Amino acid sequence: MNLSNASGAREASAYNFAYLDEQTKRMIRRGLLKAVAIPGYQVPFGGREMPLPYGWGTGGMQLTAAILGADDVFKVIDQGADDTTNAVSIRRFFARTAGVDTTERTVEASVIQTRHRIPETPLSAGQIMVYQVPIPEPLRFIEPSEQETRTMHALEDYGVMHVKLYEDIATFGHIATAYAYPVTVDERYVMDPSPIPKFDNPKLDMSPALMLFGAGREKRLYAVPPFTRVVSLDFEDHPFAVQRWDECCAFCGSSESFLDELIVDDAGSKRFVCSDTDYCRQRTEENLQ
Amino acid sequence: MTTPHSSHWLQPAFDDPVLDAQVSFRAALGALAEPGLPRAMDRAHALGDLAPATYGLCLAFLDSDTPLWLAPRFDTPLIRANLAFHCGCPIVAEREIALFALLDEGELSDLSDFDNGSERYPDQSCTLLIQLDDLRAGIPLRWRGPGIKDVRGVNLPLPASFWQQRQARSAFPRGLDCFFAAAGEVIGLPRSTRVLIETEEAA
Amino acid sequence: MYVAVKGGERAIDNAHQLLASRRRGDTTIAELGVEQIRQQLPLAVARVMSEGSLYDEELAALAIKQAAGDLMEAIFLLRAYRTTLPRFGASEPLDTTKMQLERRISATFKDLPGGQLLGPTFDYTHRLLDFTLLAEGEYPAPDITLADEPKPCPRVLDFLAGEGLMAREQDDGAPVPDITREPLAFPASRAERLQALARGDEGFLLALGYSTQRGYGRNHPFAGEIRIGDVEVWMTPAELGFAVPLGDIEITECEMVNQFVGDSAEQAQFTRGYGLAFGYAERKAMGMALVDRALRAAEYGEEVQGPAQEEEFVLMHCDNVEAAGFVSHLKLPHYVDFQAELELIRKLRRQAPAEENR
Repeated sequence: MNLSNASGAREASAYNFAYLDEQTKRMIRRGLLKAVAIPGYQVPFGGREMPLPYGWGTGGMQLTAAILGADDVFKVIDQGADDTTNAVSIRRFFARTAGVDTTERTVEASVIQTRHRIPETPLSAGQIMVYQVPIPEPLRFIEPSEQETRTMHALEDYGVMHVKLYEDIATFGHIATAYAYPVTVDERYVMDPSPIPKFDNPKLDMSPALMLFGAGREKRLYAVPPFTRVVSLDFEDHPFAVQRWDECCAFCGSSESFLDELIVDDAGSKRFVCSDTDYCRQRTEENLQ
Repeated sequence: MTTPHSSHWLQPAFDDPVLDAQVSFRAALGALAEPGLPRAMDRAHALGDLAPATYGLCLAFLDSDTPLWLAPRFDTPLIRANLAFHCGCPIVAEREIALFALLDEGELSDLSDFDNGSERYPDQSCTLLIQLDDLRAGIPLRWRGPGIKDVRGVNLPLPASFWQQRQARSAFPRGLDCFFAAAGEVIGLPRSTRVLIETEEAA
Repeated sequence: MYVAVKGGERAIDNAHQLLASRRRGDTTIAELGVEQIRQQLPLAVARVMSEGSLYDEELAALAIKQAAGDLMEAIFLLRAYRTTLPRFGASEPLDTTKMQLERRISATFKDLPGGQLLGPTFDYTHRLLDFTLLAEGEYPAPDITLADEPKPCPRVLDFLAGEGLMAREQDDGAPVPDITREPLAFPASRAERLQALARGDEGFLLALGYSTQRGYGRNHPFAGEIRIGDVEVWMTPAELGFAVPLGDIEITECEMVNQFVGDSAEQAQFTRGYGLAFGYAERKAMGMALVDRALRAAEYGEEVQGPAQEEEFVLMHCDNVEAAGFVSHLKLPHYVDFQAELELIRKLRRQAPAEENR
């Protein structure tokens, strides 16, 4: 990162509010309008180089830079946690370049940038989720050519996706997709919900929050408006189901949340803890009362 | 382009170009994400016949990359000069190449030729900025679709011909996205919204 | 134990300080100046400017210093800075026939107007380590006198075009797209392709160009001309209405002459591939020209036989800032996705024996 340590404050003042110039923000904002108007459709945008590497959240950061205002309260999670290094780095970037308030509490945040999780705490109206997306095209691993996949979306031709899922069932007895599990948005576009575990997919359906997705390297953005039908692909004889654990969180005792598995000794003993650190902290505090 | 004698038409735009543009954008994004729900859009002053909300949308979204089509009512030296100076948007006579169009209610019976996108690139379509006198004086219609939990009653004062035109230009994912602006408020109508008139589907 | 996977601000700050210390090395040794890098590592500076898409020798040298010599990191630094710069306008097309030539060679004609000019080159150096460089010292100046006035030097390929043996490249007057501002759509125009290749990774283009020589989309190239030197940049400000010079930049231009196409013997014409890079960057320009020609397969109705001819493959993977970012992101935590995979694979294995027994 070229904005670092002691001279950071001085360097930051040389840049516009939230880093991006206004013309770039307008370009992204116009793209977001179209993304919201065509739920689940991938809008190409003139993605810019950000001072973070591609693949580290540049798409999410460009959307955040375009939407963030002086009154926003900003939260960043990576793997559900506020204190992982990349989450800290992105939160600091916007605290420095936009001067926004930041929070680790889901309920306090107006904008939440995330990598790989949707918070366990239900989202509320007025909140905006910004997802970092590595590969926005749900059909990419079946058809590498953009020209082809764009045609498939245009024709609503998603047969190959169903064939792929059904081949999984034939081989493994189950659909072998555990994250970035494809969904259909408002009965039209098949969409990659970003690499969230399929555990989080049901949270997208009819959520009161606005969901924005940004892929920087691939230069695509897309959206799911609030209160939009989002259905995970499945088959009648193999209905969609989320992950479940036999264990509870070792900290807060939750049996409802997505758990991270920790190996705690050389013998390979395991413990499980909530991936959502804010949710786990809330519950731990409640348990103590 | 600014004509040599246009400078005396110039008026101030946003007080804070960065933050007012951001607030106006968020209002517009919210309006399109939750169709039918009025949002405040009051960071700009009126500009001639342009209401604060209409002018705010222009200032927030238009620049040299967005060809604009102007309804005759708004095609005045004052509006041209200020849009040229503050936005730098090319003003075009051909509807087909406009990315934004500034309309008043007199134009709503003919939405032909505005680009409604393609099957492969439905996003490459025109956005209509429609100025009305009021956002609540019409008969209530029921809106459904993304952004609406169940059904939302919206009573924009629009002629039936608008809904016919909108339907004629819609073939989802192709379609036209609209903002309705009056005074300091805006309502969004994306192409994804299904509008029911009485019990029969109109668009 | 849970803290181990958490970073926190302090860890990040410390990591940056450790990096700064590693970059500086032994503080009893004099610090490397940006001007020294600019003057004494000019080919590194050229590569960073080309692939960073910004002609600024000082900032490129600064980026190389800051990146501790990691050129891809330096390219990335320059790109991230470039993003924030305002656009004043576009220059007039460069007229490379009016270059102040420093080097100019053609592999297709023994002699030609303007002559062959070897200039500074690694060619014909014997690659023997020069141990005298271990000691500091002065080097004798070259025994040549440069012409005072640059003379216009016609391009080799224009002679072929004049004879009708090669199609002339014409400016069709269409607006030039800018791939740094508009997303690529496929199929791309040649202007977009050339922009992407000009920013593309030298090693990637070199390897792809090489692959065409080995038969993966062979097109029989000759180095029609390579020229290196300074060229004036002109711009027409809207308020003036006429072009004014902004200054000189050093560039490397390569035009390849490739095998002919045509429907009949009378209409047969050579084809060309084009490469352009900032600074002294011969290998990059040649690799680019080979790949540019390979990507014209569709235009000439050639069968696509190799990866260098596949436009989407080449253009989507030639950018080293994108590639390095996405490969390096694998270092980021993925334990949520991995946990999802663990849960799935265990579930599959638990159920497998039961199903086999059926």
